[in-house]
Amino acid sequence: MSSENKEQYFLSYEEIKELLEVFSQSEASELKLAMGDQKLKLMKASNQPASVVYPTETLQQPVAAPLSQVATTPVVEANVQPAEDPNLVEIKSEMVGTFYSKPTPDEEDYVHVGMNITPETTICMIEAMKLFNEVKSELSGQIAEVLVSNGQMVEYGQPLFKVRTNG
Amino acid sequence: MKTTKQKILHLLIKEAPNALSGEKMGQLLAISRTAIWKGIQSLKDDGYGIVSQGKNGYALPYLPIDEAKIRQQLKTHFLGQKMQVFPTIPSTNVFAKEEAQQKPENGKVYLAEEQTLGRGRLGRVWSSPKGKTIALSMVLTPEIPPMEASKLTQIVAAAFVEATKNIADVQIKWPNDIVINGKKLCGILTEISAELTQIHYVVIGIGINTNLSFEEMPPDIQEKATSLLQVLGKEIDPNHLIASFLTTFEKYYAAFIATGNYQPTLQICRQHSAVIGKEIYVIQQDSKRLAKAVDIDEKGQLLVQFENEKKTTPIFAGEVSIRGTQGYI
Repeated sequence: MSSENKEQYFLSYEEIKELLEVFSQSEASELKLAMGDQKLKLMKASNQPASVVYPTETLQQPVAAPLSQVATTPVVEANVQPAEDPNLVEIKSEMVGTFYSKPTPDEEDYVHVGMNITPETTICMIEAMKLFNEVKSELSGQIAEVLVSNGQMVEYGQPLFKVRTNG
Repeated sequence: MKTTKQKILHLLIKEAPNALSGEKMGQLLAISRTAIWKGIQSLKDDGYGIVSQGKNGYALPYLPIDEAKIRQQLKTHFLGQKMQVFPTIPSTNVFAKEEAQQKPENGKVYLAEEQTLGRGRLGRVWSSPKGKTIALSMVLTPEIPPMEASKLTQIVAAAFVEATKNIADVQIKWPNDIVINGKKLCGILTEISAELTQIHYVVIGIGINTNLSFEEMPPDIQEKATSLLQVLGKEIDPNHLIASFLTTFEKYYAAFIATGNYQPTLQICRQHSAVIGKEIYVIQQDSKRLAKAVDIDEKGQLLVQFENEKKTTPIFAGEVSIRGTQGYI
């Protein structure tokens, strides 16, 4: 990667999937890859599914994400589960707190099963110490399953929704 | 260049709560009384609580929010440098969020003399008659992890305590209410829009009961809420309070953002806690458990000791209410 060339190459979802496959079949226990601001780290623990680290936006919107946005997105960690359906993605809680499926008790749920969502869709609200966080989906697809109920306490990283992405 | 309407409003604000005659205003602005009358009607349509007092003329029968007066006393670097004042609005938080969604302006402050759709916990609505309360929302774009944002609510509470310490001895009902004599004086609501590790914007809304009289409150609210007027026995200048609060908040906020230092806030939250040392109910989802509030930990969580338990448990979500009190808290 030349220093005067600011344009960065980002791995696509397909490419990360491919890397994961090759990695999981290999003898290696760890793989680190850094390209500019994008970092990928694959690790194998015994009997654990491979863990992958990536900037979420890059993975979900390899084409649409503006460069500036991707470049400033810090690296986050997520677990890729060997799901029965590779297009099913889990949206996990960003914080510990109370899960609300609707903005107020009298209103409709933000989303329901079968609903199409975009990265901008507000899917739920999580409250902790009177801090109300409206959670955006950050990916496109269709809500396949709602995993928690209104008013339920959720942990950090707890799966909230299953979303069917368009592959 | 000010419009005739703005000039009339400015005169009424300067004179408030006293009346100014149409004739006098006509002379001061060198326009006809008909033009004054038209201006008054238009201001009323905008939601200003102007009353006609016969021969005496027109008056704003309360101490209005006046941006110029706030600016005279404001000692901030970024907070409130941009300000928008509404006579009436459904909700300053909703408006601030809509604007922030387009383009968040760090430090912008929205003020209203009346909210028709105040947003409380779980969307509960609180009343705010014209000119008797302050609705204040501020937009912030801190570069902190979203998990840290709950500390901002506590910084607001601490700043409010500090800003009012010379006039009243207020307490913080963890985590987001300001109370006095067991009644609610002020509520804080923090809303964020964030990704996993990055905050887009924070909107913090504060509702303050300033000059609301006992009689102006519905009976069920009289038990639960109070105002600075009721506590002090005299009207307070909302502009002074707003300037003082914003100046204090910016000081604590800037220190927290720059250094992560949250200790001054914690100290105030502990010293002025309405719950520490009390028997409380912790209400989470469908359960209501008796506990003793022991302390506030370094993260700002309430440490409680549940009935029949030796260990302390940090509380970060749900509601707390103080046992044996009739009122709001």
